Amino acid sequence: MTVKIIIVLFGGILSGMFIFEPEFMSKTDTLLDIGLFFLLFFVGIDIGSNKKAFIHLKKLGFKLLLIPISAALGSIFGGLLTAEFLGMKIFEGGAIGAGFGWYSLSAVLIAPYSSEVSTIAFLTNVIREIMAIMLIPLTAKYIGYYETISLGGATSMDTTLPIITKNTNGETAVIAFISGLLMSIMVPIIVPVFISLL
Amino acid sequence: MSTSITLYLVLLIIGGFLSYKGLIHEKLIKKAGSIQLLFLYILIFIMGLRIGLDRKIIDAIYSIGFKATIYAIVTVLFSAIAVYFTSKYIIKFHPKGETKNDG
Repeated sequence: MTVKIIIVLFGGILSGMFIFEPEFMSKTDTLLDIGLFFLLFFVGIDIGSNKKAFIHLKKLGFKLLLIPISAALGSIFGGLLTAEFLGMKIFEGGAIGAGFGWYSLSAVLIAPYSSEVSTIAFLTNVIREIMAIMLIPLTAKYIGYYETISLGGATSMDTTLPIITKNTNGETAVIAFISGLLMSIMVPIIVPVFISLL
Repeated sequence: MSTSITLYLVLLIIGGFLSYKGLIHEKLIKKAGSIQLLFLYILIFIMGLRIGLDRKIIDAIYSIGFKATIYAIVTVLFSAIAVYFTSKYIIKFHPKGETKNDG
């Protein structure tokens, strides 16, 4: 599956660079939304048909919230560490790490502080999404289902959710959606906190 | 964005509810995986297309690609490590590979 995903992804990137006109960009918003709507409906069907998942989710309860929380903390710590390594201000790294893969929003939130850091945040989170798309199948197989959520970050509730669903189980899909939602809520809160510390 | 999030949630719940209550035909449930896969590839192609169409991303790759790549790798790595330890030692439940999707 990973190979097919990489081929399709790079096919799209190259088509965007050499075949399609830039004006097509506005139409991709609608296409993306329509695709996601259909996809999430079928993901719902997939999850709902697996009754065992709900029983186990009830058993795990609030402990499940520890997954998005630890994914968020790990990502922020990674950002702080990278800033130190690259000789940047440490909280700039915190702001970049707190983007959790949501590239458009994190870049917009950082832009008033610095256009360079904003561009790094933008590209970091784009690369993060590409990495997630490519590595989720391998992570699910060799490392663990819940770790796929840390790869997807905020996108675990939309763009990377179908890949997580396809490669894990119904239970992980539900946790992924909840985690993605919580991390999406955290982005506009935590990024400005780091910016205010600069 | 919030409208989209609400719609995602509503569609996910409707799909889940119909299927949980047995209102979706068995054949469609069996085909749900293949249909998902088809939409998934279309979606990934569109995501790639958006990256390719955006000159800002392509230009940025040349100028700050190295820094951004390091950030992406390290943030994902530490995020995965944190989830690994939480899942294994706090939640004490760590599913992987062999328990493949039943859907």
